[in-house]
Amino acid sequence: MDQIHEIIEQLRKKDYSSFDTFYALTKKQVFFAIVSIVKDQDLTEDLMQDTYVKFLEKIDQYRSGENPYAYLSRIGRNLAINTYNKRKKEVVSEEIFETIPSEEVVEIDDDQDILKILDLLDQDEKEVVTLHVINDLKFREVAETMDKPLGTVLWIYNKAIKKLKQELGEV
Amino acid sequence: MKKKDVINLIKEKAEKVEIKDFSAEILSRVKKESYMEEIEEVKQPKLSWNLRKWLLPSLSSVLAVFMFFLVFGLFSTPVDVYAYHETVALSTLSSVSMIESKTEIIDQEFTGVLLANDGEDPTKVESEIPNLETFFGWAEQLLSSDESLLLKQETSDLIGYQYKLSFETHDLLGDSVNYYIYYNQQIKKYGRTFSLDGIVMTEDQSFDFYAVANDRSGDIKVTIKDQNGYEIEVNSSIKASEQVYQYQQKFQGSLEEEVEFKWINEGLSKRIEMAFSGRNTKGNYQIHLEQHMMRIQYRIDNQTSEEGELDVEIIQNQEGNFYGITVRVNGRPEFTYGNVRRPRGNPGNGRN
Repeated sequence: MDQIHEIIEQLRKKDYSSFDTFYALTKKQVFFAIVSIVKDQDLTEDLMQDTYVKFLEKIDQYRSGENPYAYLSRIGRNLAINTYNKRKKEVVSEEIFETIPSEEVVEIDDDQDILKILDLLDQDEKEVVTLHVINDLKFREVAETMDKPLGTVLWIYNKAIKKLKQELGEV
Repeated sequence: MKKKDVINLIKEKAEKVEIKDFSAEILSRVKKESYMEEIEEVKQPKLSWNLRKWLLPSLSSVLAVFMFFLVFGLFSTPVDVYAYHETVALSTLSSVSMIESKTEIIDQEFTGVLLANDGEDPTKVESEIPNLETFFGWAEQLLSSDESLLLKQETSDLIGYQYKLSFETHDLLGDSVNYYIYYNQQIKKYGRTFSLDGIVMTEDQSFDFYAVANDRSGDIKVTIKDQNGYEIEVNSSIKASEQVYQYQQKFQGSLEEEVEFKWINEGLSKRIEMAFSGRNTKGNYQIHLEQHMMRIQYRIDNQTSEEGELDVEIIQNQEGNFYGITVRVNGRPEFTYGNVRRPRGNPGNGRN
């Protein structure tokens, strides 16, 4: 974490020499924060770029010591939701596409990717699992990012894990 | 598959995703463009209705009504039965709610789900929560009802009973719950005592009801029974700013537990204090209302002590309503406990 904070201080001074390192350290969190809301790969990549551009342009708003992964996840999520609101037909959300729980156990094979696993969950569950498990945000940070009470986030998380245990079955 | 396996699988699969390197494109854009707009914030619809703001102005009137009852109850002669109706109502709603919680058959699949406390030693409060949960129903109603329970006494419309006392409460969701007590009344000659004998009816159940009051001391005892043998006996007394209720929970005649609770109105503060006794573990709980949730500060004593805080909120989804309980034990990582919440009264008749 020290390294990333040091790079952010350089970025504040418009020194972009370590930006590629910063990108490499944070791209996973940004990608998953967005892709958990939008399904389209191209759109996700566009929004990733927008997220970093926003971050760099408004880097003065970033408070030193804040979790940069949570901060970037929040920017990416907000951009994704705003885009979703403008392009409802191109994205999937709980309101227009309810994941239908399957009675059958889903077989996992090596080719199955993470997005298919996440698609077993409804929108809130998907986001909570993504932000906590993949992006390593604390539950309180997930709650702040999603603007939900902490208890609700914990509840959603437990339900999601329970659902995945049932859906994925024995490996 | 265990929880840990699921988490590891997700992490492992996430690591395999190849994410393109756009760093050059991003820097190119940053250097070319000037983005002056603010980081866009997602505007979530907020509830404009604020329970606390809405509740507080009415508390003074509630307090005034209590004071009226107090003065009127203690100094009026002859016996004024109506002075006791507030206490009768509170005893009734809490007793009925407790019996319903005890006897409710709930979906075992969702009973007492402990969340996110992996790897930690059990806390004292974990084993107490299921017991504490039986009080959530009426704690919700007691704290959320901002009028004087809309008490109404009238002539009975049920054959065999002289009077009807009705009152209405609200829960955390704003839904209303109605109670009806049909009773006959007896006042002892020359005496300062009177008794009420009848039944309590809620939307879907009925209970035997008996109350006896002493007008000199201001004490009143209410007994509520169901057909399964559950019985709650409530002894109450009214003091200046608080009402003290002592409960004895009995099943088929045997004492199961004793609980004392105080309903305290201090200016704008309204809270419930509860103390359990008659068991190896003793606990004290202070319950007050936060926005859309109850906050409970607790202390549990057996061989050692434990203190902490519980936040009780209602989570609504397609499977029903749940109590989501965030547990903060002093000096420990917080975790959550969840359980189903029984449906109450008249959903849809709420105010929010």
